[in-house]
Amino acid sequence: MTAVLASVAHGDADAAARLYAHRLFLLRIARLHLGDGDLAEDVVQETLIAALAGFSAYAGNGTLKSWLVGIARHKIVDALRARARRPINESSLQRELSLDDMNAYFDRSAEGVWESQPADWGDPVRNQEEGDFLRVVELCLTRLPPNSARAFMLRELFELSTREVCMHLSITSNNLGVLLYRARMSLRACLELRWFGAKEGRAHDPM
Amino acid sequence: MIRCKAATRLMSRELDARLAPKSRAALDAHLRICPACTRCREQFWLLRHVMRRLREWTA
Repeated sequence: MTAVLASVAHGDADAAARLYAHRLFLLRIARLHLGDGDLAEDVVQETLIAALAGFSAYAGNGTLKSWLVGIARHKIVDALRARARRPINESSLQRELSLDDMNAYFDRSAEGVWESQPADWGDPVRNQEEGDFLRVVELCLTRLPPNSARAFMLRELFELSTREVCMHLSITSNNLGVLLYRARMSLRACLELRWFGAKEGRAHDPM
Repeated sequence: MIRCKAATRLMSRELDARLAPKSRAALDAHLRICPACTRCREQFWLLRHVMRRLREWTA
């Protein structure tokens, strides 16, 4: 935070303090998207520096928080793009492409019928517990294997087309299909266990 | 007839691409007789909705 501190020395203490107050919130978003502590720290630092440099441009339209998130989003996309250009780890990709472990969801003797049937979730985002639910979603996202998480985030959070995601990750559309399948199956199983299971009192451990 | 495992693959794929007519028909036929897969399909679509909410929530 040296740039922020330096600005304090230059008399911009109020702006710096107001920006810095949102640091932890920004860090949480960056970690969610990047899943990488060091990179998330860098992104937050860059966001705060950019915000400080452009603070006079913040016209007070909307909250300071949403203005900061707008800046952070650009920085996060830049970071995701930079990382996507790095070659994907081939051995971890191969592990995620093998769907043998997905068989655990299905009854082998019956040749691919559900082992444990999906529950009726209702509409968890339309009730008062939405914030709690979204926190569990975040937790489940962090538990995805790395390539599946990247593919799913690019596709669903940033709404890139499948073609764009393939380009960013340098993978074929078949491989992308497998990663997205793994992500969706794992997320639904995780949510069923940690949110819907917990709500029904079968599991009380929120982690 | 396809089984649940194959159906779940198609249910994920339909979120990203238009299914070939044969796959579409096979999936629809399976969903008519399988409440478990019908729920799973709702959950897959809900995940998409949830990711939008998550984006708004963090903003």
